[in-house]
Amino acid sequence: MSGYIIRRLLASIPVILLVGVITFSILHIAPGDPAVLMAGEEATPEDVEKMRQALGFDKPFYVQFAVWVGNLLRGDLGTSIFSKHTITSLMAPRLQPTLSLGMLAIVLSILFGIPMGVIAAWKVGSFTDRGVMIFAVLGFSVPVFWLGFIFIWLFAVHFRIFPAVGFVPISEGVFPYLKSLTLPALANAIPFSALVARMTRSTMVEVLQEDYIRTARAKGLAEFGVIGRHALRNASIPIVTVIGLVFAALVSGAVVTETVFAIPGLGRLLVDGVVRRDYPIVQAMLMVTAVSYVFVNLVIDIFYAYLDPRIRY
Amino acid sequence: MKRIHWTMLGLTVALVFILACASADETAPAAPAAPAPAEPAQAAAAPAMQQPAAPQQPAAPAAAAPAAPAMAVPTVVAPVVQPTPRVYSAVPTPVTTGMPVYGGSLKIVPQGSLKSVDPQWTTLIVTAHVARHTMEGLFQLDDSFSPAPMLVQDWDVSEDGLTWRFNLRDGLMYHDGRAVTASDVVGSFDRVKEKAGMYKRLLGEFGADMTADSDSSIVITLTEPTALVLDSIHTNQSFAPYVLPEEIHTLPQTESSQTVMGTGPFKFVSWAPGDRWTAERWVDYAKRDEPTSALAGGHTVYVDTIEWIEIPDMASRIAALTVGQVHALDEFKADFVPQIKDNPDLNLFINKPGNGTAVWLNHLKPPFNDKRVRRALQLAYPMERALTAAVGDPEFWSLCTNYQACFTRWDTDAGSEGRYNVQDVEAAKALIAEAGVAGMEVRVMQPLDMPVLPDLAEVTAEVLTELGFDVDLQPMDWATLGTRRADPELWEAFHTWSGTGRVLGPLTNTSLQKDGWFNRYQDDTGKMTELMNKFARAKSADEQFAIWEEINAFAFEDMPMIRIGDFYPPLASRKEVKNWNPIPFPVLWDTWLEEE
Repeated sequence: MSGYIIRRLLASIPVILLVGVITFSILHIAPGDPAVLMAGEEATPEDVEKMRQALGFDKPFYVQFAVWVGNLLRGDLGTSIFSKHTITSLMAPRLQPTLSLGMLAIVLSILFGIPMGVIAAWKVGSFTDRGVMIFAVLGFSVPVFWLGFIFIWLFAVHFRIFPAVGFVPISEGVFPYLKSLTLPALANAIPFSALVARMTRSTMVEVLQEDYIRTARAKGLAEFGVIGRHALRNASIPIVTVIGLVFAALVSGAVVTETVFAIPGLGRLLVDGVVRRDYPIVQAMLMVTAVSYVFVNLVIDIFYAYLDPRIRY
Repeated sequence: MKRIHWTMLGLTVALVFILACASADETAPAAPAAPAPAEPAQAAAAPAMQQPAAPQQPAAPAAAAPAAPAMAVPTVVAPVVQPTPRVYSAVPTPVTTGMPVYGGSLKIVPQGSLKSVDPQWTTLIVTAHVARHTMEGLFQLDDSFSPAPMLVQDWDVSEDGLTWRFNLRDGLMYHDGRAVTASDVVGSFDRVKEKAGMYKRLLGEFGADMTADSDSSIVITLTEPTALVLDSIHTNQSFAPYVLPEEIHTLPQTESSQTVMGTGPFKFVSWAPGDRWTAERWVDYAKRDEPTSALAGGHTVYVDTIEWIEIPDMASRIAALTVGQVHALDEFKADFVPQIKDNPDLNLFINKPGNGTAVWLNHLKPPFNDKRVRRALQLAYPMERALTAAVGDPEFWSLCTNYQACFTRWDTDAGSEGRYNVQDVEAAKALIAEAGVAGMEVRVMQPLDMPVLPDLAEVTAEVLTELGFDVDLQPMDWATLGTRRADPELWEAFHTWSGTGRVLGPLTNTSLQKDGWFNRYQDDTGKMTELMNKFARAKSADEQFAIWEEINAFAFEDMPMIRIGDFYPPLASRKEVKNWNPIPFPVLWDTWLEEE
């Protein structure tokens, strides 16, 4: 297994490098110039040109790329063009909000999604099954920002149970921390729990047709044991894959949710970077996202072996 | 099994109920998550009008003010709840009740995201907010938009008008306790000498030279007398000349400072990029004796701290204000005004004179390098329809027949008759036919991530189509537009707006000047340049106004851009925020919190 992990890690290096080349190229080909935004609306064309020179954007593309790769290899993600803060110092305080939101959303997605999928598959074709499927279709179709606004209106403005916006760090108390995360995590969790429920249902429906399930039932196992120990475990590989990808998406920044709920997380850092053409931020965030996906995929593969003893690397 | 059925049914009903409630209630903040709008530039500088008739030592700062009032707007537009009005516009409309209360943390949402804390490096308005609270300059604007002394105690002018000596106030200190010196002043101005709108003009056209005469006095010598000196050294100009300590003013202007250090009434505490910046009351603040007046005068800080909290989404901002998570909102979209007006816990402010907008045309290439084509667009353009489409409620916009700002001392209709809001499409078509440009492609850039501007672009595209052009309406984001407009080969028309700086005068209105801005106005006859030079050398406010009327008339004649009108962004606060006068500058001194 350790050999496999090392091979996978080595194989991920060219992937990440390729991501780097592509993102750097796309960003520099894309229209929009940070020097224009930085110089301000009153600046003359000459002012903008001076700003461009000061930022080094007048240098050839390959020179800028070489400088960026060189810094990256030294572990330097760069410095924001606007704030002049290092990217790592900008990302560090945003990890807690984003990871907290991602983790809570994942937990809620699993808590809602898997039981609903299992029940729907167990009672396939029934009223219950249809109810779950309606939720799944609705939950996955409704835009997250809309859900966010509805939650704010209902639970913050109308009932005044939760704060409307903002993030409270855990250092200021567990209860306020959880309170600040509840609405955004719910808004994120509903579409993902719908996805997990659908995936769980479809794989469980297949597994429940298998002979070994019939055998388990025939030998008198309790239904809970049949579903939980035999069916669910065998159906879990695609579910784990979906959960892993959802996790990677959430930890690299739930852009819309962070915007609606004014959570200063990685997603907003990325959006601000794109809007401002703050190239170093966008490049660093895309690299972080790529690394997250590579890492999550590796963890998923390792988890497969744990779930299914037939899988060996 | 039955229990499960009932559970599922219950969940479905609950969801449907929530959906129904949301769609039925007009106050639901169901607006789509718009991208955070890019901040408009800080009010750029501008000039004169408030100068004494000839350079001389004013007996008192107020003597520099013009005879004509700067603003002529009714103070209270639409009282909603008696006896305390809740809708305020123009300056100044105190919301004072009871005695001032010290303490508390005032939370306000800025209109955009702070990206730099250095006002001499960027002109973004969010950076100006940091500077206005924590830094000070030699002169700052009062509520008549006149430069009033701030760090300066007194000043005198030589008889020939060529030497100006300014003495600093005693006991001026930065927030870290260091004394402010005259060399700091010279260094700070030196840092922005190539950028600050008016100061640059003073250096270039009037040969100004600033030196430190002693630790506490500065001398400006000129090669030609001008009444523009005070207007060239106040802080409301692009890349503002705030007085900053050595470690900041010795940085090149192209390098952004990470330090916030000034003499202002608030002491900068922290900045979490993308989240908030905070400042606290500076207990050793050297307050002036005069009453507070906009950015000038003696400021008193009542709150312990101020927090400028970024909330990118407009609907979320309104929700946060409604539930009391924040106390005030800087400018937001007028679409949300009904929610403020309907809530007795909130006050609404309307920023007049607000922003001015126009159609900026490319003067370097066909078809708009031809004055007949510009005239055709001017004749056909439906100003009211454009402003209604872009802003909505007429309470938040007005037609404006001057190229600076309405409801200010620049009010004039010189040259506008028959040329503004005429909507004579037939006459316009005749001019297009005469110019032979019908069918020509016209690219209109449309920045979808900005408020107001996309709708103006739609109207402009519609008018140009009606005139027979082949219109290519190009949707893009503001960053892309900003880059493309620098290349005259890539566009024919776009829209933007200019802010409070317009009220200061035409000299820094670069769009009106030959090759001055991205419209690349050519001033073929040279008359505009001649008028601007004449304006800069005017000896009195009356003379300046007379020249301004000539400039305005010529602008309608030659059309550097097609003036559309003005619009007024709303601001809001909770009722516990007392004595807040956020117009035209949303500053937080002299304001207190009266929490229940």
